[in-house]
Amino acid sequence: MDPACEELERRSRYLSALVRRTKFADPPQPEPEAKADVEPPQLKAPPHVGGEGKGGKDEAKAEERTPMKKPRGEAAAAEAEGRKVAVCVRAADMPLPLQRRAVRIALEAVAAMPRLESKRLALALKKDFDTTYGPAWHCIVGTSFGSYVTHSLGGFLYFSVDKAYVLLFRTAVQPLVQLQ
Amino acid sequence: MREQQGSGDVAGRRGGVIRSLLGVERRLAEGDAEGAVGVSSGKQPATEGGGGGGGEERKAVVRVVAADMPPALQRRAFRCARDELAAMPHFPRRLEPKRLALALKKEFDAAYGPAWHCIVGTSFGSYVTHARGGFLYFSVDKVYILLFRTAVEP
Repeated sequence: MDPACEELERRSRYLSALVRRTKFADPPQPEPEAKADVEPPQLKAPPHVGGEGKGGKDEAKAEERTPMKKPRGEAAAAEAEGRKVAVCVRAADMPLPLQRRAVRIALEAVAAMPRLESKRLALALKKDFDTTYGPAWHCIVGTSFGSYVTHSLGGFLYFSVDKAYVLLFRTAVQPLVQLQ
Repeated sequence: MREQQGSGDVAGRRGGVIRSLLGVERRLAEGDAEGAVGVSSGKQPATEGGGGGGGEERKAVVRVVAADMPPALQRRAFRCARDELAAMPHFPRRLEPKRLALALKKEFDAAYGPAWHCIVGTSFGSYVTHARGGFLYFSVDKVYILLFRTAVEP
């Protein structure tokens, strides 16, 4: 049990560092958040030691996450197209370059839409990550949803962009399945 | 947004990968699921929730938006969702999507093997890749539930 506890502590510190760094990387926003809605990761079992999620197909399946967004979160002010929207990483188990890419794609997609379209944003994110980092990624975008999923190591990101919440996670795939 | 169906080894225990795009937009008028696989059908039980006092006797309305799942598994999902919703407090009415998602995923993981994923909410869009025969998108009393399965590493 000792090595498992140590592993859990290391992962917890890693996640906290990731969240802090990502938050600090964002420019300060004039509007403070109404309430913090950070969901701590729920580690239920010792995670398998596997490679980081960078296209490796032999990565182990790890924890189960339950990101949750309460209905009617923060009310956003009237936004212009040139105005920068708020981005906040709520929970992450993902290397920083991938997080930055997801946030950038989300921001570009939001800027291109006059009004937020969840399906379109989910499609854009999944397509890009499937193409860049290999299958299989899944994306959920919305303002009011709860979830319970199983994801690969290093393949989980839950962040908010403007008034929507984005859940992006990866699952392992079978090699024989890739026929497209 | 085209629908891709994985071909290949039908005899295999885990078939091809199918992609689907679903979304629920409160403001949008469109109710169709674009690029979704499966059959869309409605199930309307005779008794609809009207009586305030008899919470236990009231049957929730279950409507299947899209499905690629054997009927037995679908019925199990409906029953599990109904039971869990009935167990939640009614006055004041409060939805706990995380709890419902957890219950469904746990039950399906235990009964049919990993890995299942569940999303519950009133306003969300999604784009996922699921295993053949492991996809269900339905609504229970204005709550939308997305339950799908992905292949696991052998």
